[in-house]
Amino acid sequence: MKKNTDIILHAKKIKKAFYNPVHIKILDDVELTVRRGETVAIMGRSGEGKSTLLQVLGTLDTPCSGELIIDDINVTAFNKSHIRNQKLGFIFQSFHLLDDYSALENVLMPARIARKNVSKGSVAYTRACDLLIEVGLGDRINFNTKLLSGGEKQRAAIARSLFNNPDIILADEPSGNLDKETARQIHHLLMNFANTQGKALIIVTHDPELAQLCNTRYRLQDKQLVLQTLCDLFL
Amino acid sequence: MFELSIAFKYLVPRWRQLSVSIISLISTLVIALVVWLIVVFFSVKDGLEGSWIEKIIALTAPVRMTPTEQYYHSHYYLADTISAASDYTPKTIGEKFAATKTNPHDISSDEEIPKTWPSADIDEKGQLKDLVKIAFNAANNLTGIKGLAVSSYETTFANLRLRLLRNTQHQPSQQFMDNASFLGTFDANTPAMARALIPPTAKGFNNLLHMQGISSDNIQEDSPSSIYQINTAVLHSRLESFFQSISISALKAPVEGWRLPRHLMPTNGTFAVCAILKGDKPIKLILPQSAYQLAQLIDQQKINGLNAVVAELTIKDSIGTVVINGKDSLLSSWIPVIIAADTILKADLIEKSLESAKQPKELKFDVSTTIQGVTIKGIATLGTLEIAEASLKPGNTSSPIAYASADMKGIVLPQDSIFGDPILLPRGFQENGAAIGDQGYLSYYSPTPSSVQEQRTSVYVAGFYDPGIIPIGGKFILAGRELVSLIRSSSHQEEAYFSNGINIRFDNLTDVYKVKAELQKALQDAGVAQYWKISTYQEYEFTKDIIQQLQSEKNLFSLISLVIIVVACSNIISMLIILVNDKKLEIGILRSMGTTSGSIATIFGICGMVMGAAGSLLGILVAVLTLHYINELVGLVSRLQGYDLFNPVFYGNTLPTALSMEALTFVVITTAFISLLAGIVPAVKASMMRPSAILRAE
Repeated sequence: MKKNTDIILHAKKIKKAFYNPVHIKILDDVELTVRRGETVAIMGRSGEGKSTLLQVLGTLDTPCSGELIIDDINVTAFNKSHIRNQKLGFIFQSFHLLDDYSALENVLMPARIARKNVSKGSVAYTRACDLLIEVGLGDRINFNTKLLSGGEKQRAAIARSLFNNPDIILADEPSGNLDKETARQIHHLLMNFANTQGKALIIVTHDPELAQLCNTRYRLQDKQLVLQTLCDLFL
Repeated sequence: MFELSIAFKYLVPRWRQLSVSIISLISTLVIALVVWLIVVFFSVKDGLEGSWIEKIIALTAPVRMTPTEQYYHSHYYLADTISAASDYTPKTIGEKFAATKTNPHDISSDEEIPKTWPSADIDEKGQLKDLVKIAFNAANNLTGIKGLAVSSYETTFANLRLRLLRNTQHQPSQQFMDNASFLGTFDANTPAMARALIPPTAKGFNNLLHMQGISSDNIQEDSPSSIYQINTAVLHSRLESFFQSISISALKAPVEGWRLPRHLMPTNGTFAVCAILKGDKPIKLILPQSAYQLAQLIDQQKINGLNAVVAELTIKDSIGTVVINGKDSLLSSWIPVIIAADTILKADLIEKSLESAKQPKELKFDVSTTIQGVTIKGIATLGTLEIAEASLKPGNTSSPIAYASADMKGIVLPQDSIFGDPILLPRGFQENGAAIGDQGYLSYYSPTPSSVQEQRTSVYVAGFYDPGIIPIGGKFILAGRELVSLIRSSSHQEEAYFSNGINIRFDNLTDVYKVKAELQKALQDAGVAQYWKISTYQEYEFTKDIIQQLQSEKNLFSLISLVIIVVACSNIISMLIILVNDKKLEIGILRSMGTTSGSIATIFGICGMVMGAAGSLLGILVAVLTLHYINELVGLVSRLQGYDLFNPVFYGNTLPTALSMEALTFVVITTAFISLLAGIVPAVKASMMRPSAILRAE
């Protein structure tokens, strides 16, 4: 079916509340549309629900009500895993690489989950090596992830998130645990991928510098997303 | 496969997850232990059960047909009692089978058939049905049964009184052994019987040889007042026949030692000896085989209150010198030189002595032995020497001892001999002191119209067999067909319904139900089913209880083993729950990359299965090894404990070593199933974890 719009993600009236121990509303009728190749930054105060929103958008968490459409597919409990594997890539603040695996094996993991052939010399294997070289880990391919530095770990995580050629990359404070210089390198790497490969990028961040690099910026305020201008950033 | 590779990754022990590794190692080992225990236990038990059942069947048969009460009241059976052709006596089943006439009753000459008798059971041609032949035919016509053999059997009771003649402290003594016993015919041609026969011991050969010199004329007396030597002519013929079938290859010195005759004294040699002193003069020299035995000897003599010291005996050119405490003295000819107890001498019978001997003791042998490196060789009279090794000559036909045929297909019972009828006794008798060659009589009561008379018939012990655990086994004497038949018919026990019947034997025990069903059908078709009761070995009066016992034990042990497998496998649950908690973050990460909850459950399920499988594999491996060396292991433990771990009366001399396939299948299937069940809870727990919750917590 030919896609008639370039909208890749559409969240309609997302509501999310926690009931433990008391009823706390986090998101109330959040609307969000992300186009292909668009980079979106979501900012807000701590505890406002940014991460929850990102997890809802990334299908990791289910909204209490509302609809989430990714690449014209309505997300349900049954296609979630497949969508996550094929259309989404995640980057976390604390990297979340799998221990006991090498950088290469980590990058190959999405392929293995998709039951692709990952033996040496296969298409997936070559792609994983290429991706690692691209993120600047060409000399660390077979390093155990425990031996990598923070920046290197995040590079590996970026390579992993890109592996299955997803449409959307969701990043939760991708540079939160990194020093300024490394953070900057990571930001550029991310932006670079988003721009050159036409991926939608949704970033939750505190960092105005990173937000500044995005096309669109929202602030999560009073359980709603509010569009921000560039000037608002520095208020 | 993705799930499999992740599962294996989780199972590989890692330093960082020491607790998980230790717990998984322990749970695997516990499963292995349980599997090992169950497999070994059931294999040994199955093996023992198999040999017990084999022995039960050796004495009886897998399937038996016994006549019912109706048979004994049938025209067919009773006709003999009024027929001159049958001598007015009822016939046994064997006799009925051999009889040429189905109906011996002759209307013209014999008395009229009483009105009270049931009417004759006749077939469509108007002929009296031959109940026994129909039954035999039905059994013989069974098809597809390997090793089918049909024969009649008889069982009866008699009192056995054995006279045991023994030499204790050089004095002949006489004891009696009385036993009310069952007496049965047996099918000599069964491999099971051949295996149950206990090979003759040296003691048996010894006893048998000495019995050759003793008259059995007064054997039927209540307690023979004296022991008569037989005359030389009879002795010679007896000894001749004895040595025709038995060859003696070694003799040994008796418990009190054997006085070395002067002519056997070596001409040169030096020995360490045990000298018994009176004052400071030696009165006796004991020649041990080794230094170890010497030390034992001296201790032994000291316990007996004698003054025993180590001395040196040097013989040079037939002149002996004894050195005691550094003092030399000449060995005078009246000082006996004794060869220590149990010293083995190679022996070869001097045939000529068969003719000159007036007693078995006077037989002469060429003997040779080596003591402390010096060869002692020459001709010796049997005297107090005992037989150490003897064997039945292969191919002989006149053996006085029962023996298993060379192909182990059956046993050969000796012919009637001068001693009486040969009988085989259960092993309990041997343990109580009876030996091959012992003689005695069977007494039974024969009712006559006016009184009950005791009858006696001479028997001798021709061998022992192992009856296994059959309850009446300790009292079940096996004897030749004629003897049993004689006693049974003269003591009028015909109508005890189990005492006479037809044995149906075959190789494969699993055929019993088929045989029973087919026989039943054949008898029904012939219209004689009401005269015969067909029972399998599980149903005999005297085996029923033990077979049921074995079966209920088996059920009980299966239940117990199921419980311990459950307990062992439940370790897997706790191990997996710890593993799931340990791998929580990884589960979250994998979920974020699109792993389905089903895959996550599969990963942990596989972990549980692999542990169960590894445990049972290890257990089976060790079990196979244990079974292979079980007798060595049991021997070791018995030595450490100082007594037999398994009583050979029950368990036989060696434990079975075959792996029980039944146990193996049981264990493998239950372990796999239960470890799978154990894996379900943690696996479901893992799959239910919400990735958002895991990843947010970080």
